[in-house]
Amino acid sequence: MIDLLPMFFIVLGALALIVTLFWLWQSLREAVVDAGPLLAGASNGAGGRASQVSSERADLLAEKKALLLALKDLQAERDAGKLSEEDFDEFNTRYRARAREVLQALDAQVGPYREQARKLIASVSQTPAEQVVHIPAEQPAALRGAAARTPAAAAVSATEEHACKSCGVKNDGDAVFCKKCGARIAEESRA
Amino acid sequence: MPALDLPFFGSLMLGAMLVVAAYTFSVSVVAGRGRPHLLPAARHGVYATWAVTAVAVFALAYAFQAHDFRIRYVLRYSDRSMPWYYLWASLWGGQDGSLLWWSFLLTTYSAVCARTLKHRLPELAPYIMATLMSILMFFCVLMLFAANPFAVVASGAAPDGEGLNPLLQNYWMMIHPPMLYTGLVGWSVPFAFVIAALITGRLDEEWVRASRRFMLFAWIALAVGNILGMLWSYEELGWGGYWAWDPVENAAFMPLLAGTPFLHSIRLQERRGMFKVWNVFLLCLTFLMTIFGTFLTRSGMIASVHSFAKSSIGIYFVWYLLFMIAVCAGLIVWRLPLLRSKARIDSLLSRDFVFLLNNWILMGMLFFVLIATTFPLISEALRSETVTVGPGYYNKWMIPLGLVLLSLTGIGPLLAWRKSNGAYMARVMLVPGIAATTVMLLHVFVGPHFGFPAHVSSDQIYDTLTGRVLAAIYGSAPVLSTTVCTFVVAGHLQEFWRGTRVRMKNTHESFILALYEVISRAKRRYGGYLVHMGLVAMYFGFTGAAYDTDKEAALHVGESMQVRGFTMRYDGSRMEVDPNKRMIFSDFTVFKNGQRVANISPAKFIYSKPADTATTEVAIRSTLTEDIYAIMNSVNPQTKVGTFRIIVRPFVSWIWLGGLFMIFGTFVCMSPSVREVLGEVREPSPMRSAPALMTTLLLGLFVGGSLWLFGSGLAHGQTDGSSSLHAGSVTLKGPVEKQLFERLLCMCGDCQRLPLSSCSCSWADDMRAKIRDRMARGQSPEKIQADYRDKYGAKAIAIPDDHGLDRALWAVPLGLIGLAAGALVWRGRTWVGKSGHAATAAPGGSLPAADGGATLETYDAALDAELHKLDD
Repeated sequence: MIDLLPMFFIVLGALALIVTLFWLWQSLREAVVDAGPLLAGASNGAGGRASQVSSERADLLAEKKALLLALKDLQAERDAGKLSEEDFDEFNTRYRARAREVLQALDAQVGPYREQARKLIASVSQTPAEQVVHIPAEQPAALRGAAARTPAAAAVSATEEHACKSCGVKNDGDAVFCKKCGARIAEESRA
Repeated sequence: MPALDLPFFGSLMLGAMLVVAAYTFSVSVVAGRGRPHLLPAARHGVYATWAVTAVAVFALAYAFQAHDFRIRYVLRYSDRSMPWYYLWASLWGGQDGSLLWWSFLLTTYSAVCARTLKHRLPELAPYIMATLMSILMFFCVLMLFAANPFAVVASGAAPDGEGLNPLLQNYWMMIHPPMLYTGLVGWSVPFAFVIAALITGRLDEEWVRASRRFMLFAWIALAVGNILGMLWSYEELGWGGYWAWDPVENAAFMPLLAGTPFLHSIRLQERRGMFKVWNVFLLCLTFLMTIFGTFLTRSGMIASVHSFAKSSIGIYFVWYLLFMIAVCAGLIVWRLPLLRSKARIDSLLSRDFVFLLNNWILMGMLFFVLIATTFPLISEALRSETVTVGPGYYNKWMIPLGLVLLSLTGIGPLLAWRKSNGAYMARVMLVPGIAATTVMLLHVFVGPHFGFPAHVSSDQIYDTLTGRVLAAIYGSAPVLSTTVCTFVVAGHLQEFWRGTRVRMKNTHESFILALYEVISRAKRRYGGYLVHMGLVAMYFGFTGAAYDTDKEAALHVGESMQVRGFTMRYDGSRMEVDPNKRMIFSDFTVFKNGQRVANISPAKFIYSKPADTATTEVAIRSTLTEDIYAIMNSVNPQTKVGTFRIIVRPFVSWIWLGGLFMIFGTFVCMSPSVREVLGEVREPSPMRSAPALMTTLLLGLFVGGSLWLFGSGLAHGQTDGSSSLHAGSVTLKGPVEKQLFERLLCMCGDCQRLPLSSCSCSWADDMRAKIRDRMARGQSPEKIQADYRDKYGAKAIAIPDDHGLDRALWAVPLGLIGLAAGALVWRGRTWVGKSGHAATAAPGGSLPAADGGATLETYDAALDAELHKLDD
């Protein structure tokens, strides 16, 4: 067994060397093939979302987090008997008021986007825009972060469905290829 | 001898590490400067760096296993007789290899971090990777140009190596250094996050949230690394203690003193958005302290028992440190406008302010240790005279500072965030106050009957007022400590109880379920409390040192000695032989109140290689109340008369128990919520591989530690057949002599920093004889000490005097601590402001309102929903 040990480390070393070369190859390929179609996805996935968050919005989000922590602390401390009712009421009212303001401001920031979404939904579903309005009102968009987009997306996908000509499976209205058999289904409408 | 040219191959791999790291660094920087599509390339570059470092590590491991003595490092730190696991541990047994091991851990962290950052924080990620790679590049340069582990021996291969230091040949060597390095290197990751945040200007709490688990992991690994070092010292070195305030121990301790305040004040940043500059500074400081510690350990500039061989790499560290300080300072100054925030707190009587005080005392302790550790260098530079700062100095000064810290730990959790009301505060302090007073009274009146008097006698380290004050504090430290410890524990238990009771009332859950829910809804708070309890347990263990009883005796077979209520009967000695060594055991039966409680067998091992090296194997019998620590000094093979030293040390086990508590507490802080495990949380911190890995490691550590501590039946010490060189078998007669010898250092040239009270070399023997002779002739200890100093210089005295420049040693840090306290209270008053409307101190003032639709009630409902989900 003792004689096998040096061998064992040679094997490990060799494996590590192969892995090194593999990853280096991966890395070089990704570095050299500059922004080709291969990398488009990666670039969108990584670079897209966060850079849209402005510093103003980041500040608001940080403040929101701090206020939520504050409200939670206040409750816990009143429960634990560390805070008088008067102090609790005073702080709670103040922090809650501020939190509402912050939430409103966050909502105001996404306002323009919501208008866009509303139009989009209206255009796709052919329902009057007013009927769609209640979605953000029930649950302010700021509270759900990026989720404001989802109703729109859902509305788009739910509108019309195309049956695939080869296999008959129903596909989303904007589908180009069939989700079951992969056959092209959208030439006519796209062309 | 292998045909492969291993030294060349190894050096080549080191070069490859540098090249790949430099490549990854460049790609990362380019990715950060507007080409995010290069991020995957950078990430794979990081993976490749890790793999190539692994190749180098395996190559060195192979060289050890194959006994390739052409390589200098292998020659120096191994020989043919060593078993494979010590050959593996030799990887980090010496300086050059430990740098490679350091690099390996760093790349491992980098790879885990890169994996975690996949699809996350695309703006920070490139700079995080670049920072980590830049640190690695420094270590690569260091190895290639100054400390190459693959360097060959000029005279060609030797038939056999020099062997690993016998002190290092035990199982602690397998655990302690990797753990400590894991902790030290771990701080690189949060440091990389903060540097990336500074460069990109994204200084909101994004980077804090993303690096939170890395911070906690690095913190606990460092803490556990330190505790394991104490265990090693206690079990193997055989001098009976666990912490000697050696420069290298301080080097590992100081990052902890900088990291702990950071973990506290970062909570303030999250709640208040304030102290951003301070937090960034603290994190940079922690990282710099880890580098500084490495520098202290390896430069050989300060004499230490741990020192690696003196080498030329110190100057590289100096330049790197200066460079990093410049970079950090430059970045912070550049980003000052973004880091500024309106500091506001509602009241000085609040948890917020206690957090600040916690920062204050911990920074004070850091400064104290830093000054004392570097004082030999400062003194050398200012007046060309090296002085030594021995453990006596630290022990006296750190006790009051530690008590302040402990008191703050007790008070903080009892106060409310933001503002505490006097009457309510009195109410929450009632129970802990009563508990503490009860324990204090018990200690004062009942303690002495059980051998735990409230006051102990204490020697004065100075003959001045300061010395008397310190001695007074030290003397009453036991009762102060038990009182404060009780206060902290009672206060924390009350916190758990109050939280649980409210939940039981509101939800009608059972106690256990309610407790679980309460903890899991505020994991960081309650996890932190558990860590505090661990700290208390450790402090309690340290307090036990005041009651140490140390006795030496020469015994015939069948004779007994009495130590602190225990009767130790010497039953005789026996010899066992194995291929490597002869082992001489002395068997003792331990009685208490006439009942047999244990058998222990201290031993001496005599190794055949290196020829006739004798090691002392202590035997320890641990219980929660005390440890019996037995050392065999010598046994006459004919008459079987032996001399033994028995130390009874109360409460030592509590230190290790405290360490376990800390691990468990950190685990609670780090553990993911159920929703995270199920993948139901998309933001802010999804449960990914890295946190999962770290949390699992911690849990494993906790379970393993518990098994070790309790599974071994609390009797350990020499069960592993590992060896240790015992510092000495010195017989001391009386406290006056002990006190004097503790202050005089052995000056033979080989024994670094060992005082005459424990050094066993022949030079020390002669010197003790001379000094005893002078004492017998009626000379005062002060006179003898003064003469000793005149003859050998200030560095021969363990504790610097209390006058002249030496006074600055304590006066400067203490003065600064005082000044900082004053400044904090004064600034705090301005922070509180006129009416304390901290909540409305937002930068924007009034905010634009949203478009219609969402009413106030909607937002209130939404707030409640968010509050319910909030995981703190």
